[in-house]
Amino acid sequence: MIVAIYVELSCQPSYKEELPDRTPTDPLDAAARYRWLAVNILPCEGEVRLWLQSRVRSLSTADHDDLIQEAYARIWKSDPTQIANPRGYFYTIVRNLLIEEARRARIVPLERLGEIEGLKFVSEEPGPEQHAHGRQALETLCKIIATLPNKMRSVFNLRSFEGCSRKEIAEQLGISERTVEKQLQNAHLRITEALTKQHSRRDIAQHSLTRKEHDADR
Amino acid sequence: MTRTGKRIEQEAAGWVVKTQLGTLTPEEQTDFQQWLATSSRHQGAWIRANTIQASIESVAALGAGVTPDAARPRISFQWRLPLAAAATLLLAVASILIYQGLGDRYTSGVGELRQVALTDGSTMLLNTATRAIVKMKPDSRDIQLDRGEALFEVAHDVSRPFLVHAGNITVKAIGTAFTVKMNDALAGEKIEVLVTQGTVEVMSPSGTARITADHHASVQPEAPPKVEAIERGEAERQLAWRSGRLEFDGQPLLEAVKEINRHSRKHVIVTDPVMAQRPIVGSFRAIDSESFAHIAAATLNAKVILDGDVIRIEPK
Repeated sequence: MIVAIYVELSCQPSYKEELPDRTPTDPLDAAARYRWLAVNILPCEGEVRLWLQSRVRSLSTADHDDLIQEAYARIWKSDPTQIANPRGYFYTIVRNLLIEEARRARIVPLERLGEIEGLKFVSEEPGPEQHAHGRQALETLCKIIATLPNKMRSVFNLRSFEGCSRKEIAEQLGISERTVEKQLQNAHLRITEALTKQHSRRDIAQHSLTRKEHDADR
Repeated sequence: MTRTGKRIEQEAAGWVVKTQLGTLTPEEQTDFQQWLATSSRHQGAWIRANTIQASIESVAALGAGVTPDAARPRISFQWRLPLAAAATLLLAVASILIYQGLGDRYTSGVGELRQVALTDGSTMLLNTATRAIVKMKPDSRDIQLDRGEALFEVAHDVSRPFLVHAGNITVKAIGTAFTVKMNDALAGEKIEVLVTQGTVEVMSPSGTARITADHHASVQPEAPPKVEAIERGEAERQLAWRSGRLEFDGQPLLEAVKEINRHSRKHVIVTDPVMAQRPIVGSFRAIDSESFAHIAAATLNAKVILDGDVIRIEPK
């Protein structure tokens, strides 16, 4: 049985989302902005997903995907130079999105309210290290590439490490240019999956532990 | 909401690949603009896909050194694929060698903090400008601290002592929390060990000492470790860097400046010997040497001179 109940949400979005509108004199151009996201936000995504999985169980994984996509759009609009703690900021944005959605919906499963209330402070804790730098990042990417199917891997390597054009790759591998694109798209998706879902059992154990502590608090 | 998130993710990846290949036709360009304007979810997915692309590109750039590049004679097409495969293999092999033989290397830049989860369940938090190499062996856990400062929270494992090597000393722990700090051991500066939990053993060529919680040891080259008890608050103060701050409680300006300069690229310089010994009290953002200089100057009735890449504090 699903208990649906109208409740005035007591929690407010914690609005620390600095500078909602970007100024024309943006200090970072798009490429630099993506690099900033790649270094500061992307490495935390797996952790945030895990946190959603363990804490917000009344939402499906597909809903989590939506939240994450929305969060990227939201983070893009803020000024990276103003964000001292990107990881905490990521958590704050996701939590705010959850609250906003709950407010819009008006009717929210009771359990979710408790879940949202319980999402405070997590962003202040230091998280497990997700930032793969330099050689380590290269190592991680190589491991992911190694798991790609042969053809996909060849196309990906020619593009990423060799800088071949779509035409060159097609000629060299004897496949159509359309296939080159398709293979690159699939490689991109698989790398996305691997980079954002990479978690050891230890991390999961840690998360369920904090959840237990949190449950015990209530 | 069903599988739309995944579908949007796929579409975004498609657009990123096309944009990156530079193969968008004018019609596709229009389609893309429409797609992007549909919803903030589409925009978010596009931004996320580009972030992944940026990540791939920056990592691939590191691998460029081992793949044939423009500087070398162009290699015929039929050789490219085997070479790309060989390059990937080489990278994989190199990674394995690094992993097994040389240990995992972790570094933090100036002003950066890095939390590292070690495979044995311990954690290591690197303070600014620090380099550590981790070797997990069957009978021991070895960390080589090359420079800087790190806080270790050690998972209990009697069969595998946790050893931190810094300069000519070794700190041995089983299950505890402690920091090891070395500024410049080569220049003959002291190495400091601060224990917040449990007990560690400090082994130096001139003697061994046991340090319990809330004790601090400093090891000068060629001298036995000097151990002293510290107050709780003092340990907290010394560990303020964990939250990106530096706290001083009456330390001489010179010492505070040295600490601030570790965390910031913009260095503070104090030349006046009298002022260098004046005490500093306060909590400062570790990476903001300029604010530090202004506050310190205000309390010491001095002036701040911004001089290119350095900040001078001088008597008025």
